[in-house]
Amino acid sequence: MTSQLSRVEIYRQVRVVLVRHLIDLGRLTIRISLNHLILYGSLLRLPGCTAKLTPMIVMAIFSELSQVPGIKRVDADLENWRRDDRFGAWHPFDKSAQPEAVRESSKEITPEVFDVADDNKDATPPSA
Amino acid sequence: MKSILNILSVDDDPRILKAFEAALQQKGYRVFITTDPTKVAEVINDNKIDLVMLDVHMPEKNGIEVFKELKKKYQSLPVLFVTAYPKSFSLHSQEMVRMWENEFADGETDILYKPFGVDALYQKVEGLIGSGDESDS
Repeated sequence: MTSQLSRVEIYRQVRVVLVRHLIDLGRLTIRISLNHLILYGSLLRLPGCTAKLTPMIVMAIFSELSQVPGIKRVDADLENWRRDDRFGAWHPFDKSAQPEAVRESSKEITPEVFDVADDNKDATPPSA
Repeated sequence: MKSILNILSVDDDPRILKAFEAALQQKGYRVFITTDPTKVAEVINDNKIDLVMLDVHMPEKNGIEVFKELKKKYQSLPVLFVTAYPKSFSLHSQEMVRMWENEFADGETDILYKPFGVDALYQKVEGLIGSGDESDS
């Protein structure tokens, strides 16, 4: 029970950091494996938030994430930000502009997609 | 001993609810569904709900209203908004920023934008309440 609870708690604390910086959680996938945190997707502010993300803010976010108890390593495979391997600085990046061969390796495969059109809404009654 | 995690999913589209129910049951969660957002409190009172999944746009009452009511009564109850992006939240964008700074600050809330893969659904749910098919002992 402890490991499961602490894992949920680590996820919660990661979300606390991201929410504090008004990051749109819907555009991110958070994965934690052992003590390794990886962020996938796009690091963007919420719709309606006028303050833009800057390299300094992104650096601060990753610094705070690395300080979450239980996290020893933080990595990211983001669509719109990339870290310079030599200097550690973050800069805006457009992954979709990369050649297909580069993008292929990170393509997520999903067995099923929930994408139901908004018609026929007045059907069955609730079962709960 | 394994305790089953209970999820309540609220959406005005019964086909989406059925898809969620099937996908989440496969992972070992017990799933309650309703198309009626006014019944959320009743279902929570009658069952030990560990997570509420909420659509934003519903004709009777929108998900944001339901969320605010839930947070007043059940402050630490995890909530997963499941909504079309950017349509739904852009209509409530200023409200969302305010909620981010207040009701979301405890990290008990997450968002999943439609359309999404089933793996993304599992990832978000596990991040909020843990895995449904693992023993908690």
